Amino acid sequence: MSDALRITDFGILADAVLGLGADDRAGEPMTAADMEAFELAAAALDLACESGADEPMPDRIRVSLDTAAEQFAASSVADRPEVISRIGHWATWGGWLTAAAAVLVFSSMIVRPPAMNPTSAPTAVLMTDRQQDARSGEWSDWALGSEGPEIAGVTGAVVWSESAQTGYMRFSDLPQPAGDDSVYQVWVIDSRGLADADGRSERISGGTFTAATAQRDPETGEFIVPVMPAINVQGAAAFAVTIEDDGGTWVSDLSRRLVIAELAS
Amino acid sequence: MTSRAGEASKTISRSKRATKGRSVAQATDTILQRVAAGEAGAAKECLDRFGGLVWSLARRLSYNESEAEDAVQEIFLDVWKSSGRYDPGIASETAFVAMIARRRLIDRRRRQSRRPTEQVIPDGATIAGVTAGEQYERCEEAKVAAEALSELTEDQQRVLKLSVYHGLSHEKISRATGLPLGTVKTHARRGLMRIRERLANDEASSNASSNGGAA
Repeated sequence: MSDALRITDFGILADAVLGLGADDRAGEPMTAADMEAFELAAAALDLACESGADEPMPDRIRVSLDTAAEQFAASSVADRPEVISRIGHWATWGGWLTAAAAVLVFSSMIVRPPAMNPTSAPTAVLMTDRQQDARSGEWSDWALGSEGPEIAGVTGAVVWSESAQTGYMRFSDLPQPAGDDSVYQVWVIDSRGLADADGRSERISGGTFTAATAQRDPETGEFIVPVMPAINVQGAAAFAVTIEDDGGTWVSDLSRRLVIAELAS
Repeated sequence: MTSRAGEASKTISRSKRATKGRSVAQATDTILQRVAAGEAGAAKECLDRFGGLVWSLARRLSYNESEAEDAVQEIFLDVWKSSGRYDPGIASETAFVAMIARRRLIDRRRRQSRRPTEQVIPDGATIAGVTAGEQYERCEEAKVAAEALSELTEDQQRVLKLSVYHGLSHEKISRATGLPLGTVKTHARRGLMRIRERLANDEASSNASSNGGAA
């Protein structure tokens, strides 16, 4: 952590921790160490004021954090940044992406899921098709109970290779859903998710896409969309597509469903 | 930077250097340092140890439970990432984790401040009550902070608790207590400086004792 940083770098935290407004802070340099010393004081005071016992963390959160912890532990120690700045030097975070993605995907963070990279579709097809463990499944309308999908009749298939951790989806059509800001979002579901009545649990975002970002197969005219989850996927049993607001979501309410496909065993 | 804050920071720096050897010796004893070393199971052990603390902080300082759930995920990732710079010569693990948790929670609240939200102002009894809780025994810093808090004026105690513990903005504290905004800011700043100084002095004393004992 650089001591050369000045208070202007910590404006938000300084305001929150010290109650200093912009006017108050004018001309008052503060180092990162200064700021952290005050943060530590505030934390100590917070702990001192706590009058009750800690509330146990809900099991569902603990489960997702256990997964993230495993991903974190598996990441290369050598890749971890030696010094972590509060401001964050994103360029040094490469080795952390696996663990970070685990938290991002398994939780309901407000950070938006990644969009698909349209240029990687041909590569995804080649990579997936040559894998011996590639499995596929045909799309069918995703109904929940008596409620059908928002758009019915979309056909195609998904192909997935667990060993290569890549796959692709084919769609006969990708009609523009209602709402100018709507996008499609793909979800990877494992066997536990399939056993869940509404598929809410154990569902991992595979990214967002639209008809505009998808590539067209020159021969069939189908839309081709790669699947490249940000984290290691184990035990994928099905893929599904929902319609979400622009940017996607980490937790879908499944109110706008499109298709679902179980992978052949 | 104020001179008092500067002195406190210098004290921290001095004590960090003085306890460097002790930190190395303790490296295998702390969860966070084992997390930083990539020890299998250490990250989960971190969850075992601090899960309740972080969840409680997140519940209290988040606008709703959903936000708290999101925050907990962020916090632990940050704790693991930051484990490499944890120094037991500067802070206890509990205080370090609480500091990171609060940093994340404050940052999230600031980011979300543009959203329409409901915030419950503590009732009058809570505002008046500033007795330190019984949980401060879980780390030395909390005990020192409780002692320092008790030495402040009643208004300073009220403002600090509403600001730090309840996470209220100074504007809200001003409305809740009837104190002028400038007074609220002054109380918050000076009160926290006082606690910071006490922590630094306590740390320096501990280090002096440790060094003396070693000699």
